[in-house]
Amino acid sequence: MPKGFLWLFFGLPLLVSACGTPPEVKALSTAQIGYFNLAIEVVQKQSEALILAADTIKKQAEARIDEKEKGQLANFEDLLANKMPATQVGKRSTAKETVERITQTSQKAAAAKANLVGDLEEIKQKTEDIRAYIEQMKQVQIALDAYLQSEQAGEKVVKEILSQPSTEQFLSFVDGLLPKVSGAVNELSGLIGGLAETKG
Amino acid sequence: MTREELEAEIQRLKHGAEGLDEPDKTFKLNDIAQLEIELQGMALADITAALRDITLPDLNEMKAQIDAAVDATKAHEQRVNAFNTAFGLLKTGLGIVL
Repeated sequence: MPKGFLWLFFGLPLLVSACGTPPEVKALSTAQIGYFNLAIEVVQKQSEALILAADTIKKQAEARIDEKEKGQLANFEDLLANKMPATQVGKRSTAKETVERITQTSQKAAAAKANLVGDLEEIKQKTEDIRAYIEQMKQVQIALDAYLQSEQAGEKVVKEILSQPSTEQFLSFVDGLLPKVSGAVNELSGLIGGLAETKG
Repeated sequence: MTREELEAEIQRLKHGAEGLDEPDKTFKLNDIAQLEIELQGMALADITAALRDITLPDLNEMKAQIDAAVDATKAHEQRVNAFNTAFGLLKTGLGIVL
């Protein structure tokens, strides 16, 4: 028996099983892409809202930091101008500590603001990562859908096979015709050869 | 110490500082103010921490898997098309009527 026909006999049942995806599942698979589009839109809106809220919190915190820093400078001015006890006036250590504290307060304020900027950037980056992830999930679904829909290519054959009372009957029918097919073997072998190449 | 505990501690220190003489009072209040500034710098920390807890798969790995699946689908489609062509030729050539 020609090698090509052996493949045909064993290949048919395999193809039948591969093409068994119900149309409802295929439709759901395609619909799932639309669901992902909606999910992407929802996450996008949520991300915008989160970033907006985070930006507002950041601005409010920065305003409080500025206010606190200014308040401290005013306190030190008041201390030096009005509140310093006579025993402390002109004392080098007190003057030094005052200057150091003013500097420290400014440094803490700058560090706190930088922290807020860093956190906001991290929130933006993470929300972008989440958006990219869902987008990638959509791409996964598109790939799966392409596979499911590609089975349509084999459906015509399957339909014809399934229209027979049984696959066994179909196979025995073809088997009975085998003596007549020798003329077509050469032509078929080229196609089946190409088939094997794509299979690898 | 939680944020709430820190805030309670700041309030407690503020009351304690009220009884001090100058310049210690101003210096103590400055300590407290510096803590408050640090706390303000943590205003977004809870949101950032919550987002850090989200672990996402590697996108490049996902992309590689998608590419592999697409290639496999193309190969599958080519096999099916080749099979259909062969099958059609078989039907035509032999005059099979199903």
